[in-house]
Parts: sequence; structure tokens; C-alpha cells
Amino acid sequence: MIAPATKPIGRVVATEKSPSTSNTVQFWVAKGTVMKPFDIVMIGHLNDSRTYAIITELRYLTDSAGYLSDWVSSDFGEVDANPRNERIGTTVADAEILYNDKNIEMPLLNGNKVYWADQEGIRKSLGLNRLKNPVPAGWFTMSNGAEIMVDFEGNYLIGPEGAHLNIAGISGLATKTSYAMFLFSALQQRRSTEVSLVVFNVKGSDLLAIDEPARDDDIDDTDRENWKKCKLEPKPFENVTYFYPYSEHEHTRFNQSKVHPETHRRQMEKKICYHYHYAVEYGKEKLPLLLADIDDPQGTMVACAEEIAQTTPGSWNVLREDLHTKSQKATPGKGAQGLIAVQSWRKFSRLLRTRTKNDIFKERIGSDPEKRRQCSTTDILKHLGPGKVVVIDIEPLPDYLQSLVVGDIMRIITDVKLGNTDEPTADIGDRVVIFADELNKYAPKQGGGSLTDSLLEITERGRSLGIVLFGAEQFRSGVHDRVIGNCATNVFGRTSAVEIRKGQEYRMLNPTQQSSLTRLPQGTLMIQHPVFTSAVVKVNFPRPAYAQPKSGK
Amino acid sequence: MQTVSDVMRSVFRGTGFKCLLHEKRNLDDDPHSEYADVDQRIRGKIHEYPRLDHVKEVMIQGLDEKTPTPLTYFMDGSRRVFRFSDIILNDGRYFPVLAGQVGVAVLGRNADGSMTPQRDYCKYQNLLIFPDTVEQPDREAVRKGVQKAMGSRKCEFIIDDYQTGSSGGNASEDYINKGTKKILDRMHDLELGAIVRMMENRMLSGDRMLVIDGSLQFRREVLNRLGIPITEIALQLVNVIGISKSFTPSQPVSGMTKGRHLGAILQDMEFGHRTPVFRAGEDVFTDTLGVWYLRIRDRKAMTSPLEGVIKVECLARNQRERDNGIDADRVDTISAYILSERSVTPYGSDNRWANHLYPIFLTESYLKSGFRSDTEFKGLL
Repeated sequence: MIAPATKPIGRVVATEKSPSTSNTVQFWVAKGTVMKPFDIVMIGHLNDSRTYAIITELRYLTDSAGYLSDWVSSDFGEVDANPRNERIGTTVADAEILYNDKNIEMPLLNGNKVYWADQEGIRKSLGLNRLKNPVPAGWFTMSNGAEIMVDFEGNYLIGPEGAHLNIAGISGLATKTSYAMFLFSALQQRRSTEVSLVVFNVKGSDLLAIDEPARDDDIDDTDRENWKKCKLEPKPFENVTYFYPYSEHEHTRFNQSKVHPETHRRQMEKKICYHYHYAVEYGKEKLPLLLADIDDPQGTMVACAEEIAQTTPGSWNVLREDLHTKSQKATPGKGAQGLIAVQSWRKFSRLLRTRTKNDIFKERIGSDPEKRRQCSTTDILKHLGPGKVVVIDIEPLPDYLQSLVVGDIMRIITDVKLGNTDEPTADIGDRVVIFADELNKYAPKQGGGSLTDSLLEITERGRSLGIVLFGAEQFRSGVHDRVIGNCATNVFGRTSAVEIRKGQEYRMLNPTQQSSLTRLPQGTLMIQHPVFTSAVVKVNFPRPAYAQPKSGK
Repeated sequence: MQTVSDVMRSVFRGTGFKCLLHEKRNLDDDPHSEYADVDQRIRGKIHEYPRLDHVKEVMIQGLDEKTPTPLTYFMDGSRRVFRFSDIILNDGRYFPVLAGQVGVAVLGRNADGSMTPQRDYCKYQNLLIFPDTVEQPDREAVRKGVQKAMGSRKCEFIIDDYQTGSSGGNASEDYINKGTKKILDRMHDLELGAIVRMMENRMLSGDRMLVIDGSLQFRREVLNRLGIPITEIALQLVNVIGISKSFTPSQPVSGMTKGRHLGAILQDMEFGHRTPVFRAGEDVFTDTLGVWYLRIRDRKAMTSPLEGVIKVECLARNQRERDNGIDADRVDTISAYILSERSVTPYGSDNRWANHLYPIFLTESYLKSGFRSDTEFKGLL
């Protein structure tokens, strides 16, 4: 092996009880060397080859045979005793083999010298050297100060080889959303001719001004440098259109959103925001999605919804009245109205009455069209296209209405991609990437009804259709297995020990990686991607370069 | 690949000698047994000035881990003895052939308290010990054959012999012990050779002393082999102290107020107490060697009466000490520094932990880590 310029930092140790294997190696660490899990080292091997390994665990051990040995050594339990002799000890690193530059898979030999890995070797060892369409994924910093840029392979991130990404992590660190938006920004900057982006805003007003540059207290020079380090411009999104849930009140500017009034005013001026609503003629067909979370094993609610879809009520009020009538017509002794039992109609009527009490269930109003800016969700399609971003605010809506909107948008996009729509649509892009937080609401582990079916269809068929889901949730264990299983790329943020113990989804991580997950700092994530040779890589990414104004309501 | 036994059979083929392959066995039965080492007995007379006739407490107040200590170097020698073949001579006499690994290691204490091996003074040897009834030309033939066979394995053997005695081996003698003693002698050669080189290189002084594991009473044969003038031995070892973990407790002690066997005195001693210095040694060491015993562990925490007591040896520095006895202040000072070495301990790792000093334990560990494993060594035989 050609000895690297750096000094060795340890030597391989293979013992009877802990031998080197084709996949693992241990080495003791030179005194004074500081390293951490996820650092990558290079070890000389047979035939002058170099083996690269990623550190998975560090252990410090002494020759103390047990606790009592130390107790005895402290003058039989004298806490103030200061022994003259220092017990010998060393740190032993466990590492997982990533790569050998001559494809040698023989176990590493005892005594081989260990060095810090070089940049080129690290990228090769992680499988980052042959990417066809790299998309920046962040960077990691080794303990020796070396910074390694990490990229996803675009073909596995948004297709066609693989697709879909899942981000899991506890709330409150703004990490999941920030990372998804970092990737969206990278896609807009790198793949603007083919990718259109859809963002659902589910929290506050974080994503309601993504076309405005970040303020000085949101981003500093270091952050800007970090963006440039990823070969991206620290700039806000371009070609953004916002869709807010409609309100019939003028004093709320005809929307229910928490968007800052000033931001909203600016968007109105630029005509880049709309207020979506469901007119009854259009909304009646979406009713199954409105009831997606209802336990309906016999499918009677869906049957009611389908029957209603055949009617032509003039307004939501008329529809509610019709339903009320249906639920009153039970004949004693028969107990049924047509094929659907009257009890089912009553339940359906009750649910619909409750769930359509929101202002989005209003008809189109002719007056003040410029202020009301009403639109249906299908109009969103007109604003999708290569390099464009659509932000749909669902934050003010209750869970069941959020499910309705998310399911509706996904179905509309799927229909366009499948050609199942009569409406003339603009080019919505080869690849539509949808970011939906709180995925556990839309595709829960159990149940979920028609919305889960839509998401399953997207994650299972979307890769070939060109629909890509970037989902996020607090707990992976709460999301449908097949939705998670279809994600080629997985991102892990900080999570709780309880979640890790509970979820099978974390078993792919070794114990050190699992415990690292419980204390990941803000802005740090573990990523797993098909082209990586390591199970996971820990990365940092820059803070968002768009404005994040406070809520306005 | 040829083994030593193969070479021997090949060399002795046609000579009428018969080489029998013996089970390859390590003869160091229990290297950790409490009184396994041969103890040079004290001569029972007090050899300290001013004269002390009772057990004394060593003052250690004010001496802490930060106080610089003169105990700088630590030496340990070790041997492993294997029986692997027996020889039947033409006349029908039957002798064992032994093999051994011997080594010596020295660790030096750095300013930060850590230990570093002094590689110039660490040495290992592989030995083949024949009975002296095998003539020199035959031994030489074996040496050459082994050298050729072991060349690729980077392994050399030194060939030596043990005396079969004036009876020519006809008497009922324990040749295993003789061979083992020869291997032990070779180990002492390495130890003393290292000390002499350290002296030559001016490594040792009053504030940079060497502690060796075991006795300072090297046999005259060893001194002769190394060419050390008998008269100069005290000069050579003046900055060296020997510490033994084991000793013979059933030997009489005279001159103390309680004239009893040594063990009876030692078992009464409390932590930090020492005996007076006794005369010890024979031959060139008469009048020169002083021996005392020091308890380095709390008696109440020990499981047997003499656990925690070590034997310390040093040589008289000058004629006055030879005539009047070892200076009491020097003995107290050395004892205090030894006491400050009591922690940490190899408790749990070594049965002799209570009588062990950690730096010596480390030296022993380092030394043994350099030996070929028993499995490998037996494979060579």
C-alpha cells in the first residue's frame, strides 16, 4: 500500500473473541486522536490495496478486570485517593467495511495501520463517485476537519430508477421541513426543466413566503457559504403560487390562512395567490376523501357518497337538506331506503353536516372576484409546470379536511398523469414532486381508507408515472408499511428512544446509529439512499434561504 | 515445513541416537502460585544503621502522586519452558530435551506518568536445551538444521546444554529441573545484560532508579558469563532495587525483639510497616545485600496472612553501609516511594495482585505480549 501523507491513527486488532471479518474491523486508536462514529478511515490491506471503513462504535477499555478492581485500586474505596499509577487503557473503534480499491474482501490483518481517509477515497467508498444526476444531499464533517459533500443520485431520488423519500423525526426542530425544502430548492435549481414541486403547508406560516429572500436574522454568511458549498445558490424559490383555503369573510381577506397580512397583500398584488374552495358540483365527487378516516368496514359511507355524486344539488345547503330528507324516510318494519339502510344515511348526513361546516364548502361568488380570488383545486394544475412551485396551505383546516385536500390534489395529479381527465391541462412537468408533512394522517399504519389507497398508488406506481412523494412524519412506526417500504430514500431526524424500540423500521440501523438518532442536533440528519454503500450517512445541510415570517392571525 | 523435532531426527539418523517425540507440554505449571519462585533466604541478622530491632511504620505523609519519584524504570524477566522430545543415547541412557522462550523488558515512566517500553533493553530468545551428553558437533548440526528450517519463519534458536553431572547421567537426577535452571540462567543473563547496558548508557542514577521484579542475587555463573567483575557488582546495581512478590516465611530471624520466624513477624505488620533490613545473600552478596519486608496493603482487606507483604532488596552503596548496615533513611525513603506505587492494582487480573506493583505488572504484560503463543511455539518444536 502506498502510505498516505498523514500519520497513522491506530492499528487493526483482531483477537480470538473479536476477529476481523469481511464486513467489520476493530482498531485501537492512537493516544490523543479524537474521532466519532460516522468518521471514515483508510486501512492498508493485501496486495497494496486500501480498505475504507466507517466507524460504528467507539469503546474505551482498561485492564481493570471489574468494578471491584477499581474500587480496590482506590485504596479500598477511598474516594479521595490519588493513585500514582495511571491504569492503562485505550479506545477501540468498531468499523464497518465500505470498500476496497482492489475488491479484496479478505478480513483485515492484525496490526495493519489505520489512517484518516482521503476525500476521493471517501466519496468512492460511499458510492458517490459515479453519480449521473447528483442532487446535493448535504455534507458531513469528519473529526479531522475534512468536509465531505454528499449527493443523492437523482435517478433514485425522483426516478426513474427509484423514487420517493421519507423523513422521520420529532417536531419542533424545523429539521424535516427545512431538509425537504433544501432538496426542493436543489431540484428547482438543478432540474428546473423537468420537475414541478407541490408543497403542503401544515404548520404555521413557515412555507407561505418561500419566494421571499430570508431575513438577516434567519440566515447568516455561514449559511450562505454552506449553500455554496453544496453548489447551490442561497436564494428563495422562484415561480411560486400559493393556494389558501377560502373564507367568506372580507376582514380575513377571504382566506383562513395564518399567512402574514403583508405577505398576503404582496402575493395578491403579484397575483400569485388563490383561495381554493369546493363548490358543491365539484365537491360532491370528493366526499369519499372527506370520510377517509371513518371506520367503514362495509363501505356504506362510500356507497352513500357515490350515490350523492350522481345527484345535482344546487348548493351545499340543498345537499344537506336532501340528506336530511333521506335519513327521515325510514318506513317502520322495512328499515331501508333503497339499497342503503336509513341508519347509514343518518350517519352520512350527520358526518357531512359536521364536516362541511367550513368556508371552503361555499359556492363561487360573482362579486369582488379580485379580492375573493376563488379557485377550485383543479385550477392548481394550471400553475404546475417545470420549475414551478405550488404551495397549498392546509394548516387552518381540521384533520379530515386536510386529508380531503391532500387526497384530492394527489388524485388530480395522478389523473392527469394517467390521462384520466377531460380537462385541458398545461404541461405539469415530467416529474411532480409532492411534499406532505404528517404523512401518518394520510397513510396511517392501519385504516386510512381511500386516501391511503391514493398514497399507495402514488408510492407504488408514481415512479413510472412521474409522481414522487416526499413524505414526512414524526414517527415512522405510524405510517403504512408499504408507503414507507416504497421510499427509495429515507431520512432520519432526531427521534425518541421509545419510537426506536417500537418501530421495526429502525432495525436496519445498528445500536450506535439508533442511539445517535436520539440526540441528533438541529440541522443534522441520517440519510439512507440506494447508491450509498453505508447503511446511513450523517449529514448537515444549510438553513433555508427563504423568508419565514411570523403568523399573521 | 520442518519442525525442530524433524531436524533432530534427521541429524541423529544413523548415529544410534534415538529421538522420541514427547507430548509438547508447557512445564510452567502454575506461574501464579504464591511461593513458586525460589527464594534466596535471608541470613536472619539485622543489617541496618542505626540499628533497628522492631517493625517500623514508614512515614508517607506529604508524599502524594504528584511528588516526583525516583522509581523510573521497571524490569521484568520471564521464561516459558517446554518439554517436547527425549533422547536415548547409544548406551541406553535417556534424557529430556527442553525448549524455552526467555525475555526481558524494561518500561520507563514518562513525566506524565505514562509508561514507554525501553526497546533497547527489551530482548527475547528462543532456546533448545540438550543434555551435555550430546556432543558439541551434534548440537551445532542441530543448530544449523534448525536455522535453515526456521529461516522463513523469522525464528532463531540458541542451543545450550544442561550438565548431566559427574555421574554422567547414571544417577537418579531430575534433568527437567536442570534444564529449567539453565533456561532461567539464560533469562538472568538477559536481565543483568540489560542492567549493565543501562548503566553504561548512564540511564540510572539516584533519582532515576530501576526496579526489577525478583531478586538482585544473580548467580556467580551469570556474572562471569557477562564478564562483570565480582568486586564491581555493588557498583553496577547501586541504583537498582529488587522487589519480590513471594518469599519463604518459615525462616528464623534473630536480633529482633520478638525473635520468631519471619512469617510470624510479617503477619502482625500493619499497612505501611516494614521490618528492619536483614543481611542476605551468599558469595559476592555477603555484607552487600540488604533485604526488608514491607506491607503495602491493608491487612484487614487481605485473605491470607502474608498477602500484601513484599520483599525489597538493595545493595550497600559504600563501605560504610557494608560495614554498619544499610542506611535507615534510605530504606525509609525507598519504602515510602514503593508504598506510593500501591495503586492502581491488577486486582482481578492477577492472583498475586496484593503483592504486585502496577508498573511491574505492566512490564510483565508487555513482556509476555511479545512471546510467541504456546500454540505457535509448540508448532515450531
